[in-house]
Amino acid sequence: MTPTLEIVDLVKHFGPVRAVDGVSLTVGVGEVVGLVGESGSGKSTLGRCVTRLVPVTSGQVRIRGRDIALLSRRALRPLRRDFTIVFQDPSSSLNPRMTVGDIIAEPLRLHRLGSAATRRARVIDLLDQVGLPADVVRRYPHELSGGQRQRVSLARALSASPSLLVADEPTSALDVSVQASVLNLVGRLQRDLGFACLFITHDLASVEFLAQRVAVMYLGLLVEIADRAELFAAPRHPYTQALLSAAPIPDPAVQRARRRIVLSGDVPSPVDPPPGCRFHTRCPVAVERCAVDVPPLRPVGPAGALVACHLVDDDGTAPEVSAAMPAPSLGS
Amino acid sequence: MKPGSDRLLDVEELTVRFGTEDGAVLAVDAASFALGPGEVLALVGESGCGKSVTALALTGLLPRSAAVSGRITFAGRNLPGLAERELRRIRGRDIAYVFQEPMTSLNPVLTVGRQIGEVLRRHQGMGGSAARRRAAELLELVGIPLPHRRLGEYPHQLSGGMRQRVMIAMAVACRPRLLVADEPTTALDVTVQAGILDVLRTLRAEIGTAVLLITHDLGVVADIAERVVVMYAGRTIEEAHAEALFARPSHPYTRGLLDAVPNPARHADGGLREIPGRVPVLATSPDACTFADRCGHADGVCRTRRPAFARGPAGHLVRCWHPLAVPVPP
Ligand SMILES: Nc1ncnc2c1ncn2[C@@H]1O[C@H](COP(=O)(O)OP(=O)(O)OP(=O)(O)O)[C@@H](O)[C@H]1O
Ligand SMILES: Nc1ncnc2c1ncn2[C@@H]1O[C@H](COP(=O)(O)OP(=O)(O)OP(=O)(O)O)[C@@H](O)[C@H]1O
Ligand SMILES: [Mg+2]
Ligand SMILES: [Mg+2]
Repeated sequence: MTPTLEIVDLVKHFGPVRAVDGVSLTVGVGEVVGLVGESGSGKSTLGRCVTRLVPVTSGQVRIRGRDIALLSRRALRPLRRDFTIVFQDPSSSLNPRMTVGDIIAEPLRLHRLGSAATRRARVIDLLDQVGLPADVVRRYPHELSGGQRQRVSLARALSASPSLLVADEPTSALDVSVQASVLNLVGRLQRDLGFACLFITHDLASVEFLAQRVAVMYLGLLVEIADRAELFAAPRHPYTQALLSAAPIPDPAVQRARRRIVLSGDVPSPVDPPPGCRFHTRCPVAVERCAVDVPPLRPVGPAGALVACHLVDDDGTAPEVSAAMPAPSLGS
Repeated sequence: MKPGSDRLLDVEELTVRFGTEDGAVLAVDAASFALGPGEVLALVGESGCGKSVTALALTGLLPRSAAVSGRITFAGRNLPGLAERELRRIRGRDIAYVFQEPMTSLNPVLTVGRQIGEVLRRHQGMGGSAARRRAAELLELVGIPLPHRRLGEYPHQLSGGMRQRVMIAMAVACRPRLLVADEPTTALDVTVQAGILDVLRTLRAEIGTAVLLITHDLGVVADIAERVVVMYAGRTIEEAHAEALFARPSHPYTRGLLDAVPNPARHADGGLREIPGRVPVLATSPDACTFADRCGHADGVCRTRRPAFARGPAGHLVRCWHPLAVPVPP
């Protein structure tokens, strides 16, 4: 089956900033792929390229087989209903002067889907699906709580039945308890409606909850792609290992006995990424070769994981990165 | 902390009311807690429950629209009774703040070195090369590599994590006895966050700074806090040692908060647990438990009588008519 999303060698530069520097990633029909990685590694930029909110520098973005990466705005317009995006902060992405009903119906109107009456019915149906009472149609965004606003942006994003939803930190601005309800909602909608989802977040626990596969990004490149269970049980790339070891577990008994991989050194700049493996300047196990040869993202192990690291064997054996108790750091 | 041991900060019945166009908002409702020297206390709770207002109220940083009452004793002195000039001296020297967004608190047109130097000059009368040396030491203390080079750089040349470290370096420049950190890692990724938490641990070990850490991230709390105070709708509703709070939450709200955190072990049985409803914004303090409307255990008493802050079954403080009767392990 043709995957819903196929990103091939995607590049996005902002002037000298190499925000996304050659990324390939597939999201299957009805699949949720989590995208995690360091702040500033290019996750949001990738999401914005996929939904063509920013022009792509080069590469392909195939949505259900059709490459939209370089299509003109005009050619793109009728296709837009098929892929949508929701953002972290629902208050800045919802038009404050429109009612909730108009906000949700907007994509239907833009794409001239249905009559006014069927659109109204669809809005009520969508509100029900995202767990909001029908009477919010006449309310304005500022009259709703953060969690309710995020439900409205989901309803809007899903109104034209897209086959792909990009969710960029959809729960980061919300409280734990509200986060839980929005994550449950995304999971349920995704199962019921069957759309594919690229789920961008720095919250590893929510990725583990929602995603079937996980991609890890570092400085404009993917360093690892693996099934969720495999990635969380046995992360292979040293950066992935460091990332997982740094995510605190909300249980003092467990957390305080844990060791963490401490990354030293400066975070390099995407204007002037290090040669060889981009992670080598901070990698605790880097060898000479890592500073010279660029490691390709290649299949390793029996389950089809992809890892970009010279030190990971073809059979999937990964270098052991030693972790330390979080000792007080006194500088490098 | 144990009653009777000497306290650095003692907050008793702190109440903060705002007059707004839409009427009064009771932001903090008779909140009480205390902090010992060198202790790390986490203040947690949902958005709008009054954490930041509590932090700002400590040293009189709230706008004029706020009416503040209650006792705030810091190192034996009653802070609300002090003149603004005196408070200003305490702020920065004895009590330092770090906020979530370092970019808004740093001056974009001054180098990092100038900004740290200014703090050292103002509070410690230090200048010239001594200030420069100390500034570099501080950057090193907070884990910034190549401190001498960084001193000449501007805030926009630093990453978010480094800016937050600079903020902390400025905050601890005068070896404060209390650091109030309001969501210091919320905008940062987990590897950077872990580094910042290390810095807080270092400060505590090296300078003996106590930390009032405001966060809604229970992972961060589990990592660093010794004790935890949970707030709900302006009230402090539970207080306990971190281990006890996570293992045996006594207030149904705390239980709900802990259950809502994604936990792979529980994903199989039907998704994450939610707390139905939302935090109320109150104008006056009701004679009731403010969580009653969302609580599965609530009965008539909860809706008509205000629960006191009392010792719960697990030995820690809880404000609940029906604290969860979890057996205390032997
Ligand atoms: N419009 C822009 N102009 C110039 N540079 C940009 C622009 N948008 C992003 N960048 C840069 O591109 C890089 C990637 O940014 P991006 O926002 O995609 O990162 P991210 O992985 O989403 O980070 P975070 O986890 O902090 O959200 C960063 O160096 C960023 O400063
Ligand atoms: N200057 C103000 N005027 C009026 N109301 C205010 C003001 N500052 C805060 N409030 C209100 O006081 C209550 C407590 O706010 P506070 O900022 O302390 O919450 P918080 O617990 O820090 O939440 P968050 O987790 O979102 O930061 C909220 O209802 C808020 O709207
Ligand atoms: Mg982003
Ligand atoms: Mg706050």
